[in-house]
Amino acid sequence: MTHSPTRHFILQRITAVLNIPILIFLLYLIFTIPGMSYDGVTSLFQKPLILFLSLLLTFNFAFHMKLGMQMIIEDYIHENKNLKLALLLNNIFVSIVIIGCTYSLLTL
Amino acid sequence: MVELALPRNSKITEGKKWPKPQNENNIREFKVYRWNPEDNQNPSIDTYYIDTEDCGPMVLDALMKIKSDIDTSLTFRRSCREGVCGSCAMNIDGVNRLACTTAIEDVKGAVSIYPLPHQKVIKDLVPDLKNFFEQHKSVEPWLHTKKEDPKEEWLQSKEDREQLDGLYECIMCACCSTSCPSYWWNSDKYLGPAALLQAYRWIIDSRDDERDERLDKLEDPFKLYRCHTIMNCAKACPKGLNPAKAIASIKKMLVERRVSK
Repeated sequence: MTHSPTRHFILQRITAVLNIPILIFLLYLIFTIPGMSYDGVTSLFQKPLILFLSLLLTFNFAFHMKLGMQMIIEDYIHENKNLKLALLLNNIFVSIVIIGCTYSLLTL
Repeated sequence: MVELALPRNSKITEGKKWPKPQNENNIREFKVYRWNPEDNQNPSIDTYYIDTEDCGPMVLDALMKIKSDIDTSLTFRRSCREGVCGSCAMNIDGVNRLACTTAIEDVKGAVSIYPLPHQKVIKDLVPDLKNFFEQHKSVEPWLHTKKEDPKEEWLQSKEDREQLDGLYECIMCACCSTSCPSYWWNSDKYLGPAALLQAYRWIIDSRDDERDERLDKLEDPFKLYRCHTIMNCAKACPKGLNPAKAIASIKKMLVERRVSK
């Protein structure tokens, strides 16, 4: 359950606005990578700026998704036990996404 | 878990079809939701036919015509018949509106009339609005002052008074709240657009001394933040008010307060 709803609201807006430039970077990746060799892709992600933006993309998208899903869960699941379980699963899923993506990016 | 399907005893069945008048040219069909708590039957849709030449122009006129000439058991609320009291709010042709200000000729085809959505029904077109009015009461819609009472009235500047335009006109008909999906799912905890519009009306009032206390009460994950700016409230309001804007203003005030702390 959101303990500080205004903080949740602010974070939701900040991550949403941040998603706009990040989306442009994602589109750049989508259009750049298909024509590249495997070595080309790995060397692309080893560039500090690209790595930083990719990590930022991962964190921001995942965190924004977590905040949004939390809202949806709170909207539709009312029984306390199920609510807590769904919120926990949401946190676990987002953690797996962040850890998995970060590990992949750093070991590429 | 939210219930997406109606329980078996709420499924709507086909009801009585009243005879169609013969040799009339201006006949309109009305499909009206009927439910009587005393007969243990499911709700039904009764069909009535009205000669619009022999009836007033509004949907409320047709309902009164049905009640007086065809079926006296039809139950609905009404009072002022001019869009001031909010009593005759109901769902007409799929939209929450006042029966007294909705013209029959503005509805195409059969005129379907249901009670306001997602509220318990007392009988026919009469919803139970107890929770709705309790929520209104919970925002304490009266002046809170810490200053000494003035000899006459509390004064405010013309500019401060203008801040209340678009807020004080609410007639508490519940069209907005009952059109809001967030209110459907969480009406026990979410205050809904009507109560929040009133909350903002008192927050923004220059004569009120408890703005912070009022904001504190609204800083809750459910009371205020269930509003997802769906905007059904603004679309449904028969007085042309914009509760979504008032809610956004409350959120803005809470954000500014938090950022400036």
